[in-house]
Amino acid sequence: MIEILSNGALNLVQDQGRPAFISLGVSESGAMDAPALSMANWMVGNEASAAGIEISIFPFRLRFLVDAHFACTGAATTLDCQQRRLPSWWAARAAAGDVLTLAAPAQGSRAYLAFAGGVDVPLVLGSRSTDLKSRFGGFDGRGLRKGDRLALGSAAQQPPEHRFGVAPTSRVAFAHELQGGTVKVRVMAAAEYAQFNEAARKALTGTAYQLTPDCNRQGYRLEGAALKTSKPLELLSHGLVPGTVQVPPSGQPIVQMAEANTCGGYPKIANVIEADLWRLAQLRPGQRLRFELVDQDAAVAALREQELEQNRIRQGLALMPHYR
Amino acid sequence: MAVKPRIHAAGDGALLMDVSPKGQFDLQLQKRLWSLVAEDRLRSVPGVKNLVLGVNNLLVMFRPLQLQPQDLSEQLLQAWAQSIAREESGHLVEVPVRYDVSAGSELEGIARNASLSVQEVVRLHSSIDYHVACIGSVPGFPYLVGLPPELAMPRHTSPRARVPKGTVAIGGAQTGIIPMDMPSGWHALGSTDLEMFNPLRAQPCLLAAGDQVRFVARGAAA
Repeated sequence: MIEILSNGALNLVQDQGRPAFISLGVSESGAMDAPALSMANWMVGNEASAAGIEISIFPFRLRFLVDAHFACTGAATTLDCQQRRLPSWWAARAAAGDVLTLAAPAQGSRAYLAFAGGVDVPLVLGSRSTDLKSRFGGFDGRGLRKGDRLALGSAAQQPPEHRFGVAPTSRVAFAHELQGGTVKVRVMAAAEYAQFNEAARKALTGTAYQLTPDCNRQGYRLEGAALKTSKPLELLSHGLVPGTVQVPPSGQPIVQMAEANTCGGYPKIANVIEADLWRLAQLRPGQRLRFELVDQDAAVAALREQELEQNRIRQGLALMPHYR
Repeated sequence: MAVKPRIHAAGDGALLMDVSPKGQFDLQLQKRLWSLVAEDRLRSVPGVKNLVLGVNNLLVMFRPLQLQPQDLSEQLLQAWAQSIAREESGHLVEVPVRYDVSAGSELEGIARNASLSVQEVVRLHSSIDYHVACIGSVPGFPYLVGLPPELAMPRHTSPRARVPKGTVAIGGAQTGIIPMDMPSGWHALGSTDLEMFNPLRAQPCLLAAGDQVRFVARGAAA
């Protein structure tokens, strides 16, 4: 059991989501930075599918009511556990009574905490993730508040014995890009791409777009060169996936995120490739991105590379001495 | 009618097949899509994760490390070419509605827009057996087709911040039942107590594609 010590309407129990129910209008939901949650889970001996906490409101504090292994990934926060300081992408053990504090991150916007055994909340439609929009799943379908107590499940596998950290190269590269001021996000052309005028197609990849304050788990509203279709388009409602870059009549793009509506009707100029969705999840309002147009082969190569990086780290984890 | 479907990538892990003739809804084509989502043929293709039915279109989500979009595209076209319209499920759901005919109601606005009396609007709206084309957007929301054209009304230019669960409304050429408290640009006709969606029910969705809906006026709010 852990007890939450800080209020945060956007600190949410999340797992890998409920993709099987999109056909009922249920958002995929789940961690916005899904690879970061998977990694945190592996670092404490869990399956990737275990539930953890997605933290967007800092400082975040909790008290351990039992001895527990935990790992923190995602945004570059600093952890303080009983006067011991740790960076994110580290795993450690806490004793019952210890208080853990996550400071506002120096970079990135969402931190993930995983605990050996996972956060044990009831499965709703096959998932423990919080659907904020529809108010179900997770912890009573809402953000965590001071005084909430979360049960931990029993660990599938013993975690490594020592405190340790991991440093995925993809995250190092992302941190460098953030320092440079503009982050690259790869997209593929979507159904109406060719129906946007030439200026729009040029601007999409040739100019930067800034995240407005109106960015949340449902979608990110961007600001930059307006994107216009050659003539007005009336579309029938169709299925949407996270990463879809829709363009409403204003011309300012909206990127659909984890809690996107499952159907919509705005023209779609592009889709963020699966391997780059986490990059969006770690951007903040005011930060800038530049879209790069790629094809299926490049998108698949990026996904394969992400999988290889994860596998290498997991192999490393397996070689560490573990508790018996 | 020979309509060649258009297939586009929706990212690296999904294809969108649009079968609509020039963006106009066609019920017969929708019935063929009903059969594609009801049958195992596409679901059993290795690497296919999920089918999401839209209005005269179908989104197929797949694992890109396992399945090539070109191969999936071929299978989709074949399945479509061989598809046969699936008739209505035979499930007709009566939705009791308290039509809000009070002075100043949004229903009055719809009546004014249609140059009809509020009673005429209620009679017309409840005179049709609507088809559930598909479910989506938010949990349990039915895309209903068949709204009498005289009741069509453009959405509010800026959406209402919160429309209550159970609101029966008109948006453009569609009518629907708002399944949860949410922002919406639709015009309210009244409300129903029927719960469209409950994640804890064995069947979370009250309605499914292929069902029919009949609105029945109950104790109209004066």
